[in-house]
Amino acid sequence: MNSEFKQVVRVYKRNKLAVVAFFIALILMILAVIGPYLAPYDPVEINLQLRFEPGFWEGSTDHFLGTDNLGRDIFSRILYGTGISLKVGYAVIAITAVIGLFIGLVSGYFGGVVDIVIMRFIDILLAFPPLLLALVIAATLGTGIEKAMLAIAIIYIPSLARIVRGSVLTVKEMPYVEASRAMGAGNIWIILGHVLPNVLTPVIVYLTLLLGDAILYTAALGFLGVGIDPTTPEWGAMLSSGKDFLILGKWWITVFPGIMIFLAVLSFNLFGDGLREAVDSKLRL
Amino acid sequence: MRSKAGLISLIALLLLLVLFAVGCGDAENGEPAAPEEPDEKIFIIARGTDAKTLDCGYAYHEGEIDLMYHLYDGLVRFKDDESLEIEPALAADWSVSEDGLVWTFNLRDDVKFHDGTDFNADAVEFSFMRILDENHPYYGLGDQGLAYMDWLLSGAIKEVRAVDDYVVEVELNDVFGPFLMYMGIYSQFIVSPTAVETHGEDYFQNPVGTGPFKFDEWKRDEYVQMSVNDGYWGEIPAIDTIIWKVVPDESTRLMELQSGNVHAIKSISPAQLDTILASDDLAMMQVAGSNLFYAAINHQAEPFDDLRVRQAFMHAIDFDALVESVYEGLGTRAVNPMPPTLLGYNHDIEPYAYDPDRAVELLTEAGLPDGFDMDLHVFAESRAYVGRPVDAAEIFKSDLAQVGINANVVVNEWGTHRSLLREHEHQVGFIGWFDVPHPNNFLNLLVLRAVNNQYENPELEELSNKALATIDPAEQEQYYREMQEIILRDVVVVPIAHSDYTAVVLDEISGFRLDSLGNVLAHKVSF
Repeated sequence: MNSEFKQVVRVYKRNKLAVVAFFIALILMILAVIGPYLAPYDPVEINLQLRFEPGFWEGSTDHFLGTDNLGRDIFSRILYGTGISLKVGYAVIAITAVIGLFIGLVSGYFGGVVDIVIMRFIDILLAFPPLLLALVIAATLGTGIEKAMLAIAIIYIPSLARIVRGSVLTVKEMPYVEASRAMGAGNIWIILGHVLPNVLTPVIVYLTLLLGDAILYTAALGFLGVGIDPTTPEWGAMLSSGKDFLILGKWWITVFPGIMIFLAVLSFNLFGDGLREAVDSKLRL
Repeated sequence: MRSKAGLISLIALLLLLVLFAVGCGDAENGEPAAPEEPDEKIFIIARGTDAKTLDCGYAYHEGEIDLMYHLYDGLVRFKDDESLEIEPALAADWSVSEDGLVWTFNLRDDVKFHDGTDFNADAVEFSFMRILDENHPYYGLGDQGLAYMDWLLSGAIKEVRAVDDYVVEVELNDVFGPFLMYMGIYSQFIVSPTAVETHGEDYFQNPVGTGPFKFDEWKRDEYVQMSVNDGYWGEIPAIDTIIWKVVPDESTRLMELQSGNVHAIKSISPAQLDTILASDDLAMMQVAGSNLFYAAINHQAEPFDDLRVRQAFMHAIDFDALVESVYEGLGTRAVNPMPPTLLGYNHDIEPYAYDPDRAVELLTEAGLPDGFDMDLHVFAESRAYVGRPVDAAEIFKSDLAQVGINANVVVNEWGTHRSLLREHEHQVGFIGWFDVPHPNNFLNLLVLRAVNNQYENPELEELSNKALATIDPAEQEQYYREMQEIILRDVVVVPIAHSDYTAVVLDEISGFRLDSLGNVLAHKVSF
């Protein structure tokens, strides 16, 4: 196991872009935790006397990245926003992993009618454009970051369930599964002890790639004003509230959260890509 | 294995290109296919919302009202200035009986509907009775949820009858102060009976009136197109075609205007003001609006059934700062539901002072020293009475937090928002009102009749009825002043601001008007 891990790391290191992405992702993760302690101001406190203050480019030291249309400190909002975006990302991963694995395992392992019913339902979900589905679910559930997480998770569960099911179909025909069954093992024992560990690799890669997408969809929901309280310092919501002021040259309200979305999505995607490449090479060996 | 990264770069590049294209203004995008005749004068207006019906009897949405003033005429109309005085239109003259109950209108005999049929007294009777009389064969046909005429006049009008080919009598139940003025409002405009009978359920998308423009085409959520009515009884417009284009996003609207794709836009956001004023190619129009942006309180919902909580709410919010930030010079703080330009406005009333300490005291008296949690419902889109409703909600939340009230801002799509308030699922919800500039429409219809408030007060009802039953303006004024005091004291609604109506036209356009009802009037446009 240890040597396998070393092998993965070695291959990953060859991909320079992925290494840079890994460190950016790492910084973002650290910021998500310590950001609220670094933030100089309350991210939701409105100060109408300080609207549209420019930041460091005009020599301001009070508000490093300027203030928005309601006088809130953009730097503080971005720091808090990092935590929110990553929290949503991880929650989406957790929800997707648990439900997607469960559905995929049940469907793949038991097959037959169960499999047909579940897979047709999943086909239906996959037929919707993902953002549209997320919008409908978020609008139905109402406002709240937790509900947005659920809405985004629901659009990924079908794909994960499919991947898991596919792997399970291969694994369950393996001789060691047959051997285990011959020795009298029950279904639960076989699923947890033999099938699950052997389908995890593709699942982990998929979930890593999902983080960037989840952040992007959160921002999209925030931008469209669906499901997320507009006072929340969420990057997409910040973009949305600043967009009317772009034309006035108040670019900093939108540009900084935009850069953060860009960095987060790109770094997590490149990280996931590098990881997949490294793991694939291990599988080939 | 690099495909994902490649894809991302590609998408980023595409996004840049799209931004570029939007910035440059895409002339082909969504533009109705208008015939390319060099002489044809096509006037294009971009608005934020589309109509839902083109039937004047059932129109009430802000996307519909402009259109009504171009497709239809009423018996009377407002003068072409800001005075709000009435002048003859389809009725050449009129008289009222001594007891004030019967109004007789003598109609013009030279008017034809767009479908070629004659305008006459039967058409007037038909237009009114199809809305007001439940036994009329076409009653309720095309109803979209609200008949504005029914709302304004069903209690007042007893009967409308054609007594001769070109003479109509309107009999009232009681003396009704605002009657003649109401006759100039779009819901009392005259439709072609033949067209209603022919099209039936589909009349709402095949409107036929007597107005200066006749209906050509309606592509839902894209545009409504009308062309000039060459047989118009009044002054024939100088333009051949008007296209009412739907452009929901205000930044896009301004860009469309700057790039010359449209000739005029309606409703700008305060944030755009500087840009517009700085441009030599654009002419800005700003009219004091007969409207109100307010927070509707559900008086049956705890804890807002307690007067002290409502008063605490008023003291907790710094309305002046809010209006200054959200409207930026395009609105006035509202003290009263009714705008200060109207008859009978009570200038002696002092608004609730911004006083968070007093708010906390009042909450403590009401048994809520630690405040409470509430939902604050807001709609996402800009509307005639507020450009950035969500900003206002965020400021409310921030101010309320200072006195311990934890407001959860819920942003709803407009349709959902409307029905939520109508079903009283809210505690406090932002909403607005735009109406005829008469105190009755604000103090009575908004405060006492609107379903959002769940509020009853016999004293106010009585004052309102007294004001309606007199034609003497001084007496009306006295009742309306008293009503304003009670409404303020009891915090029936939370008035926030009166918004100015705005439109921007290209400098080369002349004759374009924006009236105090917020209507675009393109009758005299030329370029």
